Amino acid sequence: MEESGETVSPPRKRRKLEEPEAPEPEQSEIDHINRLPYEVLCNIFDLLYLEEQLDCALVCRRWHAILRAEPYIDRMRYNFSHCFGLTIQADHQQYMAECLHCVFHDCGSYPDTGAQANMLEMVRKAMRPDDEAGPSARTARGPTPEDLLFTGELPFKTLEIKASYDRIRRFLGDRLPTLHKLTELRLTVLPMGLEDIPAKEAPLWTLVHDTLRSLTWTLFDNTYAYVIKMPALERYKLDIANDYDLGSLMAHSRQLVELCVWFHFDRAMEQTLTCPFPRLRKLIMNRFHQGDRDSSPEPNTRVDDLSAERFVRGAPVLEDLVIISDKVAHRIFRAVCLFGAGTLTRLTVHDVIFPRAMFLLLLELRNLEFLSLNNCILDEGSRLRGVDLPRLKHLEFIHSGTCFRFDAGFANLRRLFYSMDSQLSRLCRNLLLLEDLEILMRTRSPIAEEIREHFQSLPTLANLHTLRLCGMRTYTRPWAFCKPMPNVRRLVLRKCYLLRCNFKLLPKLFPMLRVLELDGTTIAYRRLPEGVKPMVHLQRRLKQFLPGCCMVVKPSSRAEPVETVLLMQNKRKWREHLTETYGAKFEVREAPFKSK
Amino acid sequence: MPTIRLQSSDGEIFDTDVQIAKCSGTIKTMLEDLGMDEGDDEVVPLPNVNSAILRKVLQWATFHKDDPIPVEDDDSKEKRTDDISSWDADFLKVDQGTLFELILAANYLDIKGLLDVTCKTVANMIKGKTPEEIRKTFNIKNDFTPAEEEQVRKENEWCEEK
Repeated sequence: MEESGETVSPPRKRRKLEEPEAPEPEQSEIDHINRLPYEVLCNIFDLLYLEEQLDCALVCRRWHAILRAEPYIDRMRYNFSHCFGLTIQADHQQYMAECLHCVFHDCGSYPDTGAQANMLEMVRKAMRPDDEAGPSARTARGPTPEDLLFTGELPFKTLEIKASYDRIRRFLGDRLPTLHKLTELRLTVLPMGLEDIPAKEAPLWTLVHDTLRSLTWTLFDNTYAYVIKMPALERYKLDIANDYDLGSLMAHSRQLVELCVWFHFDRAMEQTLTCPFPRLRKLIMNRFHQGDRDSSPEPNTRVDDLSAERFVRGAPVLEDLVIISDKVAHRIFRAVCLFGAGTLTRLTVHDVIFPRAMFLLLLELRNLEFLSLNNCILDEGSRLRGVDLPRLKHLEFIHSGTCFRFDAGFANLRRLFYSMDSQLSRLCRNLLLLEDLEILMRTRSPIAEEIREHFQSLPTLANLHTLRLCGMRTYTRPWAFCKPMPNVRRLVLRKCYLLRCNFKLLPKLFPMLRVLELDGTTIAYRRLPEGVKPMVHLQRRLKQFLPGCCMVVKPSSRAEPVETVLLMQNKRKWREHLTETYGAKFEVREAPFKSK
Repeated sequence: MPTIRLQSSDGEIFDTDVQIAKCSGTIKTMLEDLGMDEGDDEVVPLPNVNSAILRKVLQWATFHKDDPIPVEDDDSKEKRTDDISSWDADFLKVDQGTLFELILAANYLDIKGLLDVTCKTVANMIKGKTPEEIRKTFNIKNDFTPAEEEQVRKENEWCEEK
């Protein structure tokens, strides 16, 4: 986010900063190409091939920032939907040979058994009579992706496989070491397929790799018997749903730098807390809930506190902690605040009801630079006052209005992401250094007219250069929600519905605006313009009022006739409308994970 | 033939055939939104384009006025840059200052054909060059610290091994 903001702002200012005293250069020495705005540079980069784009990323910081962000980084990914065992087409071989991230999505592993049967039939037809059955079987008609993959000569660094556990096991087998350039492996375990070996009969699978640094398991179904032996592993993301998962984590705890773990049973958390993590910098912990949220956990016993304390002491370089759910937070929050405060600079807490006495310990975290509270509640007593976290620069405060007041202690805050729970004006009184403000509208009162009073009494935020609004609806005068903000250079509208989009007011409110970003935002037209795409038309209109401003349209932003937008604002009605128009395929499928 | 009056940033007025002016999406939208009728004496101000560049743009538009309207197609991933017509190639034999002014003008005026052909010209200037040669061609300052440059090179390593 930050980086792309940097890239789209005009380069002039930076150049001035760099060469303040330089004399006016000769005509031939001016860097003309960097006067081009972001969109036009992208036009040019689009005409280059991947290798040429990579060379361009080496030219200067601005180009690097552009070519290392969306959408370019995405194009280095090769997404491959395939049934293991079928041959690969020549052009796909070419793509595979050029990409950075290789993604295999095994069509044979879809939950639809009819489609699965068809797929397996196709594989069978393509096989020679002497071929062995199974997903890595060779075929007569040409190379399979496996043939290419396990030569070890392809350049990609990241491999992602989405298939059922058994098919992943048979696909990779003991061939993982041949991929010696691989640094990251992501495995998505889909539900069991038609011809898979059932869990209880599955043989033990050993995953070995000497240089792999990052491993991710994403589960829609359980893993079965496996062990991993990866001496270079640093980042590990897993669900602990059985003892094999737990064993794989315990065997590698001493080498991990980053760990993301979801516990599916309580013993998994207890045993993980007994492991030493001497190198761990970032930790994400969650207790997975199937169905209803558990009632609030029992308070810690003395033994619990001691084990949490030992765990925190065993992770002496922990900087970044994310804790989700009551169970995890109640178990380790106290220990982290008391014994981890020396190194902890980032803390994120989701979905926790705090006893007030426990939450007070937050004040011990004197080095905190980033704090994110999402859906956190104090169970009794009033909000904390006089909170003073001297190094805090970046605060996310979502649906957590009961936690504390924004007193003078927050004066150093540069970035705030806030859900509209209380008076914004009162809130920002003490936040005069804010540079970046993001506001999440409450679902019940997101209309521009209703938030206007908040904005109108806002103090002048002289440093504010980025304003993001999330979830705003307007029926009239879409920009009338605030008074002029002289230094805002970037305005981001996320998931907003603008019923009337007239840019006339924009130059008055945001005279310095350079980027208007629409992210998942819907703009209503009384009549869609003819012969030109609506977004292009909007871009032209914007240029009339703000010639120096460019519009960045992120996917899922759209322009629709007014009636459609009105319909879309009501989720239930919109769903009915989609079902009527397109049939039942719009019904959401739940993840079919089966917990033990 | 109906004409309109376009005013460049330095105040010069260009009497232009409406059909030619309308190859610019920006002018076309302005005319429609402002409800200007052909034959009006009103002046359309173009504050971001100077007279020298506007003259070149109009010269290009005049030559290309009978071209088919380009279809707007975001999905075309054509990477051809060798299909520049010889007239365009000659037209774009200008110094870099003018070339990039033309791109900025084409972008502001929303003239897809001109923007395409100028971008292709620039892409051709980049193709086949090392990063250092690219910097030299466009006078770009290398603002990486040595450590950063090393880091970026490492990111690219997998590709350079080939």
